Amino acid sequence: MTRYALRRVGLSIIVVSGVMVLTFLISHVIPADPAVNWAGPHASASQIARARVILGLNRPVWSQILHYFSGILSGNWGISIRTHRSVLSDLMQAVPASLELVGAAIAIAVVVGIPLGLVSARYAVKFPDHFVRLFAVIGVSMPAFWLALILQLVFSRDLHWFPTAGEYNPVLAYAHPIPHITGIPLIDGLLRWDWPLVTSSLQHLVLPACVVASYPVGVVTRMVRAKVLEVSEETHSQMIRSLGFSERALLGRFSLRLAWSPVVQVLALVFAYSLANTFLVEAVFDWPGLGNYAAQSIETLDVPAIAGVTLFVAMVYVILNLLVDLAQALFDPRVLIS
Amino acid sequence: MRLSIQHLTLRMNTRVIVDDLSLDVDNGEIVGLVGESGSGKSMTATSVLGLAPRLGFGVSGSVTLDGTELVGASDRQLRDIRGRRIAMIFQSPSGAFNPVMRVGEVFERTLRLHGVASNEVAVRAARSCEEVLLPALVLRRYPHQLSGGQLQRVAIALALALDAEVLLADEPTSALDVTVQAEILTLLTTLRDQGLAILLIAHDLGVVAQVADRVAVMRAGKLVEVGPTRQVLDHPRDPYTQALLAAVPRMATRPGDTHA
Amino acid sequence: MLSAGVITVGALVLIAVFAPLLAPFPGDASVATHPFSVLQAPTWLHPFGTDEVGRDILSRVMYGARISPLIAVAVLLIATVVGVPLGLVAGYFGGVLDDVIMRVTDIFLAVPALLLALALSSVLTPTIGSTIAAISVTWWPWYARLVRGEAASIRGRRYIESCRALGIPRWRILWRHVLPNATTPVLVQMSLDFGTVILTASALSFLGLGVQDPSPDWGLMVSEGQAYFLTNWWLVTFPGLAILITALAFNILGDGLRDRLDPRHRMFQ
Repeated sequence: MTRYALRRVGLSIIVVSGVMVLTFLISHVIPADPAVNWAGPHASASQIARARVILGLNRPVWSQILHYFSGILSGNWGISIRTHRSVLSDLMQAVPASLELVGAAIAIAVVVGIPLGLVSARYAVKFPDHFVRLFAVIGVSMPAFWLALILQLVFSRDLHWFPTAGEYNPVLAYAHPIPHITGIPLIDGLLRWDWPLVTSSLQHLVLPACVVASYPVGVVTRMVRAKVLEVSEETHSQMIRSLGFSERALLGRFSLRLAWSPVVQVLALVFAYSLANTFLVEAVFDWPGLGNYAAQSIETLDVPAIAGVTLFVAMVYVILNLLVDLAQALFDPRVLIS
Repeated sequence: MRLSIQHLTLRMNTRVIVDDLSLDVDNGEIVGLVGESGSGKSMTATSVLGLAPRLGFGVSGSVTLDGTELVGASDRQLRDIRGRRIAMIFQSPSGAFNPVMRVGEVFERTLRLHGVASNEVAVRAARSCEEVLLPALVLRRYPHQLSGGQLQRVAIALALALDAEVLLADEPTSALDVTVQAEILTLLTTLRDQGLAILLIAHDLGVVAQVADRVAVMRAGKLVEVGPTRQVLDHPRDPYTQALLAAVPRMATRPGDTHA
Repeated sequence: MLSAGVITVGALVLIAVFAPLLAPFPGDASVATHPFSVLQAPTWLHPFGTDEVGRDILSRVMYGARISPLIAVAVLLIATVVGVPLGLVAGYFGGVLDDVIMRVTDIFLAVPALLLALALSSVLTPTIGSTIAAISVTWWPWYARLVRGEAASIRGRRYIESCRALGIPRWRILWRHVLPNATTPVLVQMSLDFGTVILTASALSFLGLGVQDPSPDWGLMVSEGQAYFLTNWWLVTFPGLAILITALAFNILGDGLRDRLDPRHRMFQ
């Protein structure tokens, strides 16, 4: 197990280094003139020249890369052109909100997707199956930014079921201090039994989480259906049937066990995809997460911030995949052999 | 206690897979069902358990266990009988177990499904393992940690855990090494001597010749010959049986002879 | 399901090709302003309404059907032209070459496609070309991986060994024997990817990083309509619906093709 773990960790380090090279290329090499970007549209020639020195563009490329790498590792991810603050601190501030959103979306995906996938498999080829499959493929084909706008219009504006924007009702801050332990209002509220905060957080969470969940739900449903169906034609399923188990018990208690592993694997992929999707959704709901930060950075072409977000999300993705691969060994002991 | 198949016919659309098959298996005997691939022998076992309709087959005829009709019986009745009164073991022992579940868990769940009290489950499982000459701690293993022979024994133990009366053995030794084959076949004869009714399906006449009391030969869904083993092997009446016999390079004619 | 996909895709292709004939106001697909018909709700004259400069949305949506599939075709073409040879070489020759190519794909795949395409687009001047380039860069690794897996498994087969024993040069083995077997999974993947590329491209234009005004790109139309949307629902609804239906159609088509072509995904009975 340790050998497997070491190998995977080593691989992850290589990949992250590679991504850092990529983000370096994107922020320092590809742009026509990063110094112009940095100095701003109204900069004079001397300001641009000074920017060039600050950014180290007059140094050879390998030196720039080294400087970049050491910067990243020591916590210097550059200064955001837009906010004039350290990119890393901007990111850290935005992360909890994104975690809350994507976490909720993945939770919805699992809670809704797995049972749906099972139902689909149970009634394969009949009406419930077709219905669920259509639902799932719509989820996977849905433009997130559009769904966000539509849901906001219908449920917030017209029906007034849910609030339009924000993480929680800002008025609450006047009534009493908002607990700040993890930075995630929902969890902080639960930890301090602050029910008004919890309720408000949940209300604000519903719409954005449903939007971000549309893709994961589709993916999980399809995956569970495919795996369960595939597995229930194999010999061991036939044996379970011959032992007197009903089809429902077979699917739910035996076949599903084999679906966990691929589902968890795909959730890691989906987590990163959803994180990127939040770029399209957070702006609509004024959600103070990475997505909003990224969207605003894109609007102002804040290259250091964009590069920073890219690197950050990639690192999260790599770590997640690593965790999933290690967890695989728990779900499927055969992994340790290969 | 016996299993009686009468005029069993299995159809898939217009194709007939099993054609008017009639065969009895009494307790305390091993009946060998021999035929080439595609002769319908595996489907016969599948339909005894009532699992054929699920695959889209049309079933007609009668299969009775001690007089209880199984063809057309309700799902609930069939599920009661499966595992508890009729059990099945499969050709690929490693494929017959869920790869991510410990072997003992299948035991547990099956025993509990058929109403065994939780405190008795471990005892019964251990006892079954003893009967097949396996230490109880194999139950904690995953399938990939056990050999083919061990897995097949576990499958047999599982079949016995609920004191089934009939065992359907679908090519149980085809995927095993020759020496292991012999062990499994010996185990089957021991079980027969204890009163179990065994339907042994095989494509290998040699296997059947070693342990079966009676032999039935199938070809293209039809039963072409049936009778006591010695009689069928020494004096085959049907030309197909004769062809089968001629194709076997060296055949064991007495139980105990090894077949290379 | 497959037939529904084929019909919808067929309809989309027809609309795209014959847009100039079908659209009631073809001029609105390019530079145009009609100050007197600004922000009109759907009527018989303008079934999808008009936008903030008075252009007919139905016409623009029709012309938009030309853009997304074009981008998708270009992206997938580039992704396969780059990815397939790399994957073949990596899978067949193995060794260090394989390791290096796989690490490179790992790196690209570590960043979610949309994100990488975003980052790239933000430092390029946004045009339809930059969109295609940015998305292609993020897409090729999948194909390299896919083909590499196929090539590696085919290499192990007996008949390849016998080909070598007969002295057939390796490039010909790759071309005649390995490549054809890898084609089916690639085709299946392409049909499945079509919808996703369309979604990615429209996301890019929604963020302003893709095609620019006055181009009737659907994502761009949604983003332009955002400001007025809460009181003029039609600005965003129809273009977005077009994206959804297009992606949906291609996904269903892709699913259907996969069921037909890929023996490992047989859907039951």
